[in-house]
Amino acid sequence: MNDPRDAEFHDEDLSALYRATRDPEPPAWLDPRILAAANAAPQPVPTLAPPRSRRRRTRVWAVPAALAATVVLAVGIVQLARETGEWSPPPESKALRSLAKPAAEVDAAAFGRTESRADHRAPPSAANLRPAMSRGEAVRVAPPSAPALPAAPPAVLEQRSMPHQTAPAEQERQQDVLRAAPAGRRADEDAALRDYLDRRSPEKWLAAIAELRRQGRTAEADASLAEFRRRYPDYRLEVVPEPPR
Amino acid sequence: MPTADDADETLMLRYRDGDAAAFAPLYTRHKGPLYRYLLRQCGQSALAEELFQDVWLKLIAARTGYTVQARFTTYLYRLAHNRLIDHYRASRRGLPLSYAEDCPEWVEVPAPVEIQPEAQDDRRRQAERLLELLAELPEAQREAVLLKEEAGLSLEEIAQATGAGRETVKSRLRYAMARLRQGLRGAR
Repeated sequence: MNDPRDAEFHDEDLSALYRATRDPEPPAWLDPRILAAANAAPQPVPTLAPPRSRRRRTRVWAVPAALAATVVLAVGIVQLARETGEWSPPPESKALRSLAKPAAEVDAAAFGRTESRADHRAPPSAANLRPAMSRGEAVRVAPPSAPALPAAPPAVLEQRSMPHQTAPAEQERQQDVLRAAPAGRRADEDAALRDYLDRRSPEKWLAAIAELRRQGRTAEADASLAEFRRRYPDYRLEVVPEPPR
Repeated sequence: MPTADDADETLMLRYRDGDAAAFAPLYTRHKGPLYRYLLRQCGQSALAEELFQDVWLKLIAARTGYTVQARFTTYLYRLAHNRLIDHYRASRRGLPLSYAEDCPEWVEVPAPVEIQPEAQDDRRRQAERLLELLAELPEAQREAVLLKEEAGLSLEEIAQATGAGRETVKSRLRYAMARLRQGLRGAR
């Protein structure tokens, strides 16, 4: 009763008088009975504790370990990509990549690729990473002066690893262009790819853009159109033509 | 005065964690007040012994779930109060009316008989008179006095132990103290 507000209910004389009445104690025979019950109560078994704590430890470390593994994997992939010049290319390669990406999309549309928007948003899976890894492997393994190996030119691997289908004739042409480049020589590869892209007619490209619009893939169509305008600044573009029916 | 090492809560935590020896000092410290609380609430020594045993066994059984959320004393008397309420409910008379939150504190209580001053000449007799007056109080009021005097609980702690509101506890104590003072007036 230390609270001063409790003073109203505290009468020291009365409490002192009450203390004088504190005679009765529990009978002595109860003491051993209760103490025996307390001692007999099953105590925590030491051997059971470690598995529980190990589980808890595992649970505690699961998230940090997963994060660390993710970081290590990501750093490894970035390093590998840098080694192969995939993710930190010189300005020329960057320009090439900016050309190549919409082109791939246009190709996909033109050749009837049915790639959903969800696929674009999906995080990179092992399958998505595989082409880059294969290319890296190929670059490291192939001697610099070795002639092109039909089985493993990096760009060919990348094309083959894609899950979608490409029109056979067009695919053949792409592969012909890329096979012409010696393995391990990225400059030549890039030149071949640029050459291929240059050879595609503006009409085909515009048809692909129209097809994209028809499919409701407006963002891709816009990107492709922007790329088209960069590539063909003098091309007179009045109306984006409808895709061929 | 218990230090941090042998504070009730520390001992109970040690007992919970498997130190059986920590139980004995807890028991020794609280057995007298708890027994008197039960004895004076139920009025029969045999019944008080049974309830006393039950409360300790309940504490032993509940040890694994013990956490320090209040003083150990509050925890112990909460168990005791609940056991007492169970006893009242199981009895033919049922739960005393005085435990109702809205029960006027003056019901059920006859005015204390004035005692002749010449009969109050020694402290022992005064103490006996106090116990008589205490026994005449409604159960809920008596319990509040016992928890204050035996267990040393504050108003808040009495409210926690009995599950009643703070204002209800204040009211019970106010009426109880007034009645005890009134009954002892001739003896002062």
